[in-house]
Amino acid sequence: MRLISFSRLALLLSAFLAVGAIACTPNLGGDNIGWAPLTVQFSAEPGDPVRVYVASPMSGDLKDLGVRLGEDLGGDEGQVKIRALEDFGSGIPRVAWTYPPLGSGAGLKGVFGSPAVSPSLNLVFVSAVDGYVYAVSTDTGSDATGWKKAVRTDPAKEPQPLISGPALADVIRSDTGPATILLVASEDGNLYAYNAADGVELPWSPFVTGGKIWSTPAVLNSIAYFGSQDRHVYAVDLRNGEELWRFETGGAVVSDPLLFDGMVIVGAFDKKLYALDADDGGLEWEFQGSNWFWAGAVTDGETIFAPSMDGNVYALDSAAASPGEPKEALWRHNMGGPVASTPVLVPLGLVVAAVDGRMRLLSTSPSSLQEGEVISNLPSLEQSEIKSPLAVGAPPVSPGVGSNRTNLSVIQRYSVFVSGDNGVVRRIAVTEGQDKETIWCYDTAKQEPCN
Amino acid sequence: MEFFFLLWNEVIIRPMLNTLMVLYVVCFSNMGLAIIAFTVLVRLVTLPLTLKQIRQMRRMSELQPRMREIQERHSGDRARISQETMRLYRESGVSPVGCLGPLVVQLPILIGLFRVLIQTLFTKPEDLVGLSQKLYAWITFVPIHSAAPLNDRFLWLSLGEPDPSPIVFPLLVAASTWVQQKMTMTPSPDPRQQSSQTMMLWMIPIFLGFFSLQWPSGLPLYWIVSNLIGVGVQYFITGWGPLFPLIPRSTPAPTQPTQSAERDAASKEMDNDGSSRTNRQNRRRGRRAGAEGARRRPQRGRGGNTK
Repeated sequence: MRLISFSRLALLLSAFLAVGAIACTPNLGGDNIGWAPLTVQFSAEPGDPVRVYVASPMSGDLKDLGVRLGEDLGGDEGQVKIRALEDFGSGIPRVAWTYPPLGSGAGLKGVFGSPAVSPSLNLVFVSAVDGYVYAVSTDTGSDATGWKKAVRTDPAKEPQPLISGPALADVIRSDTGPATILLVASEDGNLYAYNAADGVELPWSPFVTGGKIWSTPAVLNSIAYFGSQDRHVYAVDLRNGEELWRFETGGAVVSDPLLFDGMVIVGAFDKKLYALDADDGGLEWEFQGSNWFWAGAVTDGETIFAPSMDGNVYALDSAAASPGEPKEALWRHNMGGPVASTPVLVPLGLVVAAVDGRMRLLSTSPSSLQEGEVISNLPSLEQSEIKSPLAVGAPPVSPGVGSNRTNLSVIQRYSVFVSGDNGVVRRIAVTEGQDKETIWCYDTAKQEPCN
Repeated sequence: MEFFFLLWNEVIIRPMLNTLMVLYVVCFSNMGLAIIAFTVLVRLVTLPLTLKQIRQMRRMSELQPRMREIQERHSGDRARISQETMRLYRESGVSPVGCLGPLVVQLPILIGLFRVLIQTLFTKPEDLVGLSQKLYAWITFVPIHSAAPLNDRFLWLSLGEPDPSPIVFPLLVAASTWVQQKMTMTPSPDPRQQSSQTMMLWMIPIFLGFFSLQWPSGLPLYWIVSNLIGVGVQYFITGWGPLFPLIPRSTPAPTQPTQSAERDAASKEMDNDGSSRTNRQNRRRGRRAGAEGARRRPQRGRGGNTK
């Protein structure tokens, strides 16, 4: 009788619930430290170091790190900080500065979008989950010569998280003439525009959409193109904030648009990749994948490469399909896991990273293989996921625009930077005829070279 | 361990998550309605188990007088009491673990729903990356992929976050749990058991109410709706049961004896073959009343619960 008594049943239920609740209780509001995105600032003069700006969390044995650096880092646990790494092309990079400074106990809460750099203003811009956009000096890592601003319409309200990265645009403003403006998209559904030099908001700002914005705007000829979770792609004139057009997709749009050949190429959560006319937003063509398009597409000037959360990288002809026929991929390569990180093009091909840390170099030349051609596997990231965009080791060249690259070193031309979401940054060589090896690996969270 | 996680993911999490996503799309992209529909679905699927549990508890309730007699007869001999009790259960066709079925089914669902709500309603990029891999590619009849990120607003709630009020849902959780427990309580002749029953009757609702202060409010919503359905099912089968003293019947039945009087009478009138006269009377009364429909059943049920 005791076995089946009500109290025993109740006790059993309580125990189950207690275990379930404790085991399964999420850290509500936590786990939001971001993806440790990075941005590369290339040296103006040969011999100058390449700067890598990465926003990564403080983790590991901070006590040991504090002793090593002679700082008390007790308050920095879990804080996200911006680091400037200086890479001289050989050896381990050195940390030029950290913002907020080590030991300050302050941080940015979390960063998902890649920082933006303005060499002319000597500022690096970072948008963070805490709802602030930070403009920090590239020389000193201080916001004293830059600025910091809560991104919101109502000063009485808490700012909403900023997931997308900031974007810079040179615009001829009707009131002040040429200016560099900073675009910041927020989860409150607004696109904000600031004067990049001093953080003063533009008169027309913000531009309002109907959903959270995670897509980093792409800018061309003073027009910003971006997607929103209200399922629309927008084109906004940055001179006056006027909406030029909007295009409705079948799902949320979180990927960064690619501007190519008069088209806006952007993927959506309805599993489709859209090519829109940049002038009027008309649909040029659409391609059906089998899962979300999260990462941005890239192009070598002929072919569009679009990774998807279905694990495939699709190679697409930029021309429209025959009327009445669905657009087909030239080839597709399955990475074996979802791809959330925007790939990069290097002279040898396309470098793609899957979320699980796997990296591959794929041939971009026309392939007779339906599966694409894998040139080589690159060193994978272990114990870390890759979700932030990759970066190339040399300044990108716009399709169709010539560039004198003779002053670039072999390493610059044939390497990529990749950051795991645990803050481990690596530069990987993608040179011809050699093993694809890691040039250097630096754990920004622990501020020491990787083992 | 890896196998366990795979099993948990494939058997519990993914089917629940995709069902919820389908319901979300069907319910006009309203997650609150989707959770309510999901709860109804779960209760429908587990209805046979629930009915079995109620029948078991009812039978156990009917055996209370005989169990008390066993206790009195073998007072002090715990081994004998246990032996005789088990024999009584065996003879009466009552399974000591029969009541556990719905609990065993409900708990993985509850914990699974907890994880599913976190994965579907938390709209951080990290959560969505994981969600994309859990959606079934073969579900094409409803555009579940396009539905993400989900709208978590329902009434005054963000279903992925605790109730901002913050006491409405915790109170409803506690109250509905208390009512359902009270209705399903099996009266015990043992004073110690009565005391522990009373303690648990209050402790579990308080415990759950306290936890629901922290839970994403979608989970308390599930729990409240599930309890209400449970109360409804219980009412139609056994009536208000021990809740009766709190809720007066709509049709008074002055000739029926009180619970304690009936129990005493049942004890005194126990037959040698193990069934009481009151039981037989009730069964006859039940057969007569059976055709009169559900309106009469609660009264009959009350008698059944308090024999």
